[in-house]
Amino acid sequence: MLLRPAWLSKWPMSLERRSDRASRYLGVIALLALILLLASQTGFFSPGYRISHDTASYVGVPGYSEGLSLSNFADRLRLPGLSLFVAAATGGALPHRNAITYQICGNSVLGDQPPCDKVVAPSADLVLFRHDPVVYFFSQQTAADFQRVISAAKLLLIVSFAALYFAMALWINPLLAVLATIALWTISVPSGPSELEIVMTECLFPSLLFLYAATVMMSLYYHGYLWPTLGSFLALYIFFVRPSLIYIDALQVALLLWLLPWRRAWIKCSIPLLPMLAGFIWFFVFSPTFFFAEAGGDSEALRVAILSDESTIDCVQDPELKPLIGAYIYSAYNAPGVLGKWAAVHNDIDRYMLFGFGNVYRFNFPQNPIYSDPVVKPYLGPNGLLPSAVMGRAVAAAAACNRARDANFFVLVTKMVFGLTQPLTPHVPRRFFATERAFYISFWVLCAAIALALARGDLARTIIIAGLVVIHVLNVCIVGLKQGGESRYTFVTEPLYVAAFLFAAAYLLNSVVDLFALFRRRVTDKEIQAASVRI
Amino acid sequence: MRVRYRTLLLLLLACCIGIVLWWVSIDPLAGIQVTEASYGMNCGGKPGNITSGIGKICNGRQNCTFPVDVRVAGIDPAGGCDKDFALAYVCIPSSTVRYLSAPPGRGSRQVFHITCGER
Repeated sequence: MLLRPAWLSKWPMSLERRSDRASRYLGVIALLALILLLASQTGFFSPGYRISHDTASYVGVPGYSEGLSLSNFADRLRLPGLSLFVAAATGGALPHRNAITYQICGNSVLGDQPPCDKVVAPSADLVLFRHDPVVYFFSQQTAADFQRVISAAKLLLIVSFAALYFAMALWINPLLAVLATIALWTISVPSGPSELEIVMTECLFPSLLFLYAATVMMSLYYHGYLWPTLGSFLALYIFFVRPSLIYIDALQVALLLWLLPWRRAWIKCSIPLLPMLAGFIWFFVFSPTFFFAEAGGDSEALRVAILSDESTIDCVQDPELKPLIGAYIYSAYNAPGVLGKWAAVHNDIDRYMLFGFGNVYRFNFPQNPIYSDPVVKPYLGPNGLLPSAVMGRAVAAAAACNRARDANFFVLVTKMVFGLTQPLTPHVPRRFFATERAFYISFWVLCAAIALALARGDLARTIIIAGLVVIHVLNVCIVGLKQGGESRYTFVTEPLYVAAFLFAAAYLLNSVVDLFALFRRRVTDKEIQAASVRI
Repeated sequence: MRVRYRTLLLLLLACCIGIVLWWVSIDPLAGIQVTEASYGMNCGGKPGNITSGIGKICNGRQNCTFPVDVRVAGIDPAGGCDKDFALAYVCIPSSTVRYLSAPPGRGSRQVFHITCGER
């Protein structure tokens, strides 16, 4: 049983509940002014947008033109989150079918076509966007709509910072909250082109996560039903935008189960759960999306190419699958974009980047180098391609033999993301974790803050700090298990870790100041007592 | 907060710290780096002619099993000639060079195994 020292109980609880509204509102005004100043200096408001390979799948869903059903904003691979935001930002002009058309170019697994710089737009009024090995075409109106989407996303980002500050100021000194939020902006919002300007799910982060974090802090403070319900809506919407963040919904459920008085009013306590319940019923019963099956298969196939060698083939028990696995893992090195770069392979991260960008796991393209190996001929289907069921079995069998290497790759990716290795690839740039020191300092500050909060019986602040860290750590773990650490996946949640660190630092600083005040008060009380005795 | 729950949470924090310290201590980049691999030097092949061919499969691994054939090497330095094979590699972070070689006649589609574990 942990005994609480007497001095700890006398530590002033000035942080218990802050209800100084005036200072919080003044803080919002000061914060917005500072953010606007910083943003104007770094070109944040400069017009500009980009698209990526996945943009077409988000803006090419049917949209309003085919009815108001949620399914019209989703398809086999995509949930409706980003499409709904695009529709809101463009007043319904997007999404719609064939918003973007494309042409494959250059020599790649996708095909052997004329060079990308020789491709011209089918008509003069179309905008042409090159993103090798594909060239995209869309109308001038669609280009203007893309700009509206990015502008709306940037506005949402500013609003989310204000909301986060407003919630943080309930739990730490408002001045420290302003400083922490400004530091968070400086660290997390890059100057110049970034993922915030890509018409993809990345443009909605970290805004959505900051808004969610704000609702959690408000829920812990006000103990009502409004903020938990809002938090549930946000958790569901975050899942609809980025399905890999599904665990946030699980965390939200855990929070609701702990926070609300279920024994006294279970009907009222069920209300915040309803949005998530409705959303998941739609997802499992009505939605056209098969995201997890498709993404999981591609990820596993890519990892088999990275981690396998002859020992993998020896390990696989099924003799029918051995030649197929051998053909795959050796042909991957001959894919366009990989061949000629063998000398650049020093570790599994190099293999991941080469094979990933080389699309070696895309067996539905006849240009995949696996089809040049005569060994695969007996396995081909009527369409001349390898059946997905057969490759699925082969990949699963090989993956089962690579568990130790998979674990090592997981450690490599996670350490790289947290800045604990030298920079290994330009596709994993560093912001907060630019040096090892950033990890160690932030780690110990977070541990100290959580330990202090627990020792003082302050469960709310413990949940805030630990919850923000857990969201980022879990995302990094998922990336380590399924991907190769690219910043487009990890920058989504890294600002939450930074927010947790700054909150923890502010909490420790505030606590030290309060402890100093307690010490001074005790010294003063003793002097007064001694003086009265003399008198 | 009840003392019991606070104690459990502090123990959970201590466990998390222990896990992180253990994770930090692992060196995932320790492993094989092929410095030179030569195929068919007895048939006029140049030294180091398949360094990248073997390195692309083995670099960064703790252990590696690979065949030496045209598919893996990427070249056939002398068709119709029984080729020898020689390999030099280090195990990062050590700089000690380790060697492996095979005489002619064993060079076509023989499978080799190298490791950075105890020899």
